[in-house]
Amino acid sequence: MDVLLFLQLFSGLIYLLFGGDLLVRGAVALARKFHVPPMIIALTVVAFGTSLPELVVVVQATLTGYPGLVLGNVVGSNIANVLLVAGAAAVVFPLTYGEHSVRRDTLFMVATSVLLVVLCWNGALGLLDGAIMLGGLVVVNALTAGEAARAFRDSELKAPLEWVLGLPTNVWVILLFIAAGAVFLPIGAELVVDASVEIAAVLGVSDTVVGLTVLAVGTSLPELATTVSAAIRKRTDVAIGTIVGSNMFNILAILGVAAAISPQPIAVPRGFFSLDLPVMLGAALAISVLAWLKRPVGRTAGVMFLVAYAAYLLLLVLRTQGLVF
Amino acid sequence: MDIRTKLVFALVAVTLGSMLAFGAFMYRTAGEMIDDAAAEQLEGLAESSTDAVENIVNGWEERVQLVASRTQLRINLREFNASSDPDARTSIKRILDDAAGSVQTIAALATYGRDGRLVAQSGGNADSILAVLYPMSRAESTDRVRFLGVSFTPDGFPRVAYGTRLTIDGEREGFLFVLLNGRRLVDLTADSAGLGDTGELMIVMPDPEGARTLHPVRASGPEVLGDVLLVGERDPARLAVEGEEGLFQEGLVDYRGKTVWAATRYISKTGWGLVVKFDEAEKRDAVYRFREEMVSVALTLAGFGIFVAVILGFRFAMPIHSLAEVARQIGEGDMSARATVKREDEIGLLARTLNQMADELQERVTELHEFQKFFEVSINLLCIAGTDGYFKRTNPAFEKALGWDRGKLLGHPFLELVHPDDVRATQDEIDKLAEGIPTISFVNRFRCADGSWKWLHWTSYPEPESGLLYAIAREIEGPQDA
Repeated sequence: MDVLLFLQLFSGLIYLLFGGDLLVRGAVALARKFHVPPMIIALTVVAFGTSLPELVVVVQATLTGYPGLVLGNVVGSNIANVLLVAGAAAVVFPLTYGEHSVRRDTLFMVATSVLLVVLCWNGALGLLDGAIMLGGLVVVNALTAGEAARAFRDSELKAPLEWVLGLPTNVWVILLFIAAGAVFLPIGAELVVDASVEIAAVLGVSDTVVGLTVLAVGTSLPELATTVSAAIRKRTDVAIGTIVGSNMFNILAILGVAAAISPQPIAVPRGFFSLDLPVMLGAALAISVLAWLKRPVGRTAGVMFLVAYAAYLLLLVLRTQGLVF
Repeated sequence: MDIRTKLVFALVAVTLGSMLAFGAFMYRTAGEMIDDAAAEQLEGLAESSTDAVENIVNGWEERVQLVASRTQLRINLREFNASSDPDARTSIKRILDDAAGSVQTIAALATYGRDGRLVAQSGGNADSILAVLYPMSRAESTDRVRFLGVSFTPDGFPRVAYGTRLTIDGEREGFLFVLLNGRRLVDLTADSAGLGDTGELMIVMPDPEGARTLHPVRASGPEVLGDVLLVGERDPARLAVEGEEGLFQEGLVDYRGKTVWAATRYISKTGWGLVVKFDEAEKRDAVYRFREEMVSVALTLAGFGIFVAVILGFRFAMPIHSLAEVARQIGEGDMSARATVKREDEIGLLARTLNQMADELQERVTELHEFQKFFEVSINLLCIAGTDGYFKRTNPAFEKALGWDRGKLLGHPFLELVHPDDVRATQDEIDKLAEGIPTISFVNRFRCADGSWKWLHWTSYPEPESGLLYAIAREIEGPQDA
């Protein structure tokens, strides 16, 4: 096994994160320079910009002919977000619910997951499916925009030092941020997609399986790091909200874009219906039920999540070896 | 921009810069390396193939020599020359048949007598070839085995003709001609091991019409053996057959019209050329792939550089960042904010000093607060005035006694409020104070807001360095006649 491929994957993720951060900061600084109200900046530039890394990878993977990578990554990420990220963080410190909207958002997440299963039912995701998912994104955003604006207004009262000092003010530096971001993002996407495809070839598995495992864990690493470090500092009130939001966005936006731009409909492997989609749905339901019961995700649940994730990975390996399903 | 961002940027710039330099270096070197490797490969293959061809040729010569050295053949030939004895001819025929039967490489043999007539032959269909070759060789004056030429069978395989003079005791008795199978040459050129995807090994033989090349063509369709394939002036086959040996990495175009890199050799014994060649495109592809791989590696390493840069940036800048946060809180009036950085370096010193300054500041502020209280609650009139004739500060008792608001008191020269009869004395007193002489007791009249006059008894102390007067006044009952 070529270690360099994993290094390349990791390095690609670094480019994506770094480039995305630069682009967002540059765009925010530019918007501020043109006196765009901070609220508008937060709801547009920041909200869209922070998702750019994923979108760039989607476009790169889909257009180079590996849409299975995206499908695998979305389903795998959604599983990893709940079972791995929430599980690991909950083992450190129980996850509580800081925002009142979390319970409603979990409902959205379950609905979105069900929608994905339904759209996958005919064995492929095409342009129409993509349009439906993107339509869902618009609906969810419209429903939550007002609240996001309120949340932003509250948070703006005490702007952290990063936001005061972290933004460039010189026009040339702003342009440098944007240009560097615009260069780093495609480099990262290229490295990630390239490494994933090669890893799939070396392991002799499909790009979908690599998306489900290696790439999914890779893209969940930043969340894992931030959530666990927040749990160590006992600040877990936003963790579930973040995970739920990310899972919704993964399906509606990421997979929506991939299905919409893919030259051929994205094929859904048969194994998805017996393992991956049920696990994704089950994970979404598990965390949602805890939220509806207002029960914090405690250490026991965390351990169970992690065990479930390990079991899922084991089944996945067995499936690629042709031993089950 | 914050220090963290700047630090990260600087580190990232260094990483990317060095990776870029590395990449540029590798980019240039990769081309040269692959050029050199290709050159060595071509030279090596050309050398070993030349050796192989020469071995085959030497083997052929030895076989012909073996037949020619049969004494019985020459004796029988002398007998036949002398008497045309049919028995001698039969013996010669048997010897030739024997040689053709035991040496597989031999396709045909023929012996000619002293007068040039055919004595005997073995193997099929050699006549026509021998008829062509014989006149070329009848003038041969040594016993050396000599290469005569190549012919091709209808299915394209080469047959190589050798001849030698047959002598007894220096007397010329006739000639021996041997036609050998060139199959091994074809096998040699058909072996494409070490030739990559497009490489070809060609043996080029001169021909009245130009040259014939001997090689199974890999690149274009069916095997071509023995076709006339010389196309352009800079065809490596042409160079080889014309005896131009060397290594060519530019400007060569082969029979397919493709640009190639080639090494050429000349086999002097037979006058053949030998060509080993690759398509330039294949080598360029290799360079391209190698460079792409290098770019990938450089980018991957640079990615790690960025990762490390971000981590380092955070680690180094975070303490400064939190110090700045504390300083900002103190600046905004939160005297309880303290730095929690515990380090042994300059940042630690800065944190400790900041905390000391904050402690000190907090103490001073408390003190100030206490004295402020005295200033504000005093029923005496307290003020700080300048020798320029303006009040700098007055306490609430001042405003209460005279009825003027603070703006009026601080905004006008106080002499305007002094009774006209007292102005001169007051000015004298101020002059004394300006020289540093304190006022122990001085009385004058001040105008109130309601137009009445109040007698004030002053005690003042000057501070010449700052030009300020610290003064306390007490209201007194003035003389009745005033």
